[in-house]
Amino acid sequence: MSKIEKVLLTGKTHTTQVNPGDVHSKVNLNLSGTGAKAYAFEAVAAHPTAEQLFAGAWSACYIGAVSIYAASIGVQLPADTAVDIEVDLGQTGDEYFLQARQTLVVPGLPLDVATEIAHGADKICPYSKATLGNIDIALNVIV
Amino acid sequence: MSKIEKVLVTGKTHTTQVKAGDVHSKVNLKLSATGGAKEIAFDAVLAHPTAEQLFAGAWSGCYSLALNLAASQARVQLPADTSVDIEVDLGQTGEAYFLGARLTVNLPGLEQATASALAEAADKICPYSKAVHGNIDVAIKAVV
Repeated sequence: MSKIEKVLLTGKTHTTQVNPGDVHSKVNLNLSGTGAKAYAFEAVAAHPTAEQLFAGAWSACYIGAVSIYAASIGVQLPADTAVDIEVDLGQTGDEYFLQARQTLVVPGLPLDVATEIAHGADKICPYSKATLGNIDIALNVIV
Repeated sequence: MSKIEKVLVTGKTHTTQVKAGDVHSKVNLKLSATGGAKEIAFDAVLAHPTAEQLFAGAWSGCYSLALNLAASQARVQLPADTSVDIEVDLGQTGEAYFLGARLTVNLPGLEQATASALAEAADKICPYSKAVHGNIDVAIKAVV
């Protein structure tokens, strides 16, 4: 684990429950951040909203990491570059776990270049690093 | 790492950039899910700190319910004004990017020891806490 030396940005949340103590309670999510507008989700079911939000966080960061890695090896990304991430919440016995599937879509690039970019970006993206070794992640490329 | 035997729900995203290849490009986020949840779209937002907001939102939504589970296992009645505040930092060490987080669990009226024990127990239940365990710096604090 590496410690952060310099904080760049912070995302903040304030979360309450409609019925505290009820494990099926809906939650009120209030998202704000330094320099960003606030998003409010009133009384949503925690799941799969949580998995949507986490996949959104990861993909927004990962697609930036794809740009950084592609630039570092001098590759022009296609205009229709996209990232699809699916995050599952599941159970093993009584315990809850996450798993994920990441797909980098870079139409027209050679497969070996696309694969190198997908893995290179995975080493840059702090969300990929935060979950490395702790959850099952499948990384795919489509060219 | 534990493998999932049974998938309960899935969150899906489709993300594109306004200018593909530009590291400062805004992104279009389209979030959808199995389990009957409605779609959420964020058109052309900055990747950061939007990403950190969304991750903190995911974590706190799940952690709040883990807190309920921990409380019911410990036979503790949660106060009506229970809340969870999470802050997720994006930062740098050298040229590498990392995340860090602070979890504050507000349990007004509970004994400090009980509140701290519930906060720690919920952290062991919540799959988001487990997903980042040992990989990012996380500070957990219970406020009574």
